Amino acid sequence: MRNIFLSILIFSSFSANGALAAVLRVPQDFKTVSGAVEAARPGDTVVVDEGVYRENVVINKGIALRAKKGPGSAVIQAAIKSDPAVKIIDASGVTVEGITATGSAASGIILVNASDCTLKDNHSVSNVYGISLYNSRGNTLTGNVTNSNENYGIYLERASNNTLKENTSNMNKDKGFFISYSNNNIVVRNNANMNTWNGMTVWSSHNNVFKENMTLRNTYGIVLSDSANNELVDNTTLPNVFIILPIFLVYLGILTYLIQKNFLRFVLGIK
Amino acid sequence: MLRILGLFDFFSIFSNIPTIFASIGLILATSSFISGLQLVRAASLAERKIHRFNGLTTFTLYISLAVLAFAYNGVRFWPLIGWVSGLCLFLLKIWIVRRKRRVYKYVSWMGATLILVWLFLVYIHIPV
Repeated sequence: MRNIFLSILIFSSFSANGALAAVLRVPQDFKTVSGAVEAARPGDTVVVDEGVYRENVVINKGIALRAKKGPGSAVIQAAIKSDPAVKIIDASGVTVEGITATGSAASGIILVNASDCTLKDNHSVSNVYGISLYNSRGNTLTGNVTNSNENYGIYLERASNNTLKENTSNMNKDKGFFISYSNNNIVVRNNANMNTWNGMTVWSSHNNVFKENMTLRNTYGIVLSDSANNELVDNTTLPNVFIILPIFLVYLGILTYLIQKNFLRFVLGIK
Repeated sequence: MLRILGLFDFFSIFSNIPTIFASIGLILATSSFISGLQLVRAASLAERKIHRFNGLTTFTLYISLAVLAFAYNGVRFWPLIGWVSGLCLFLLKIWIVRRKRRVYKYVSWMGATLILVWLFLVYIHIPV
């Protein structure tokens, strides 16, 4: 009796730690990412090998989706362009890591009614929105790259208590980060450079913290509108410095001439 | 504490090859122009080497930029006219210098025109 009790205790302990979680490999075990995601149970991990997968992946349970060979190796290209490449909906504790999401007229990666999810080192490029969060709480976005999207790199709408850390959102055709009707978010050490409009826009959002972000060469760096009690600490904003770039280059040209002349004269002995 | 603008971050905003090529071109064209002006005053082997080396490098960069522009955007009429006009300026300047060395002081205007060409190239290659 005592042994049975101990066995049950050990089994439940392993289950709680995820020791029984399965690893589903794409394309070895499943041909498609969607197939693996559908077959996965909460706590399982779907590992995607390098390649381009033309599909729209929907995740609605607490699983992990990882690229086997790191960021940029596994590309999920939206098969139906009007849908997101990766959609996390009504789920908690989802992890998406190292995936490249592209080709969506909606979002590369979208979170809807999601909580406590982690998006790490993903690339979401050439979509209309890079990464979007709607009605989602307590999520962490770290080290993601959301460049060259038609509208925004990272978009939050009615999404609160999220952490956006060390993401890069450059060269989007509207804004790098757009935080709309979203409160109590922490935005720290992100880059939002060379976006056509604002680096970061905060719209009707309150009690957010913006710390040590870098916004270079946007039309405007960080714009707060209709927002209160936001904290901005040690952010670097640099306007469009390229107006003075040619002057700087001409100055470098003069220095180059002096260096070349003195090098020839004093090092090579040519006069 | 204020985050220091790192070297990598600084260069990342110049992170496309045409901008880098155009920037190097303007730097070397400026150096070449100054050495050319010095050559008008007095003949000097060092100045001639600087002038020729920088001139040849900028010419190569110009050709590379033109090839990249056609590769990225295809061959279109007005850009083609622009690149060919710039090339003609280069060739005209070289031809005049090699034909009549006494026209150096007039060629300085040609050098200044080439600087303007590089200024234009830098401006059009600034992204966004």
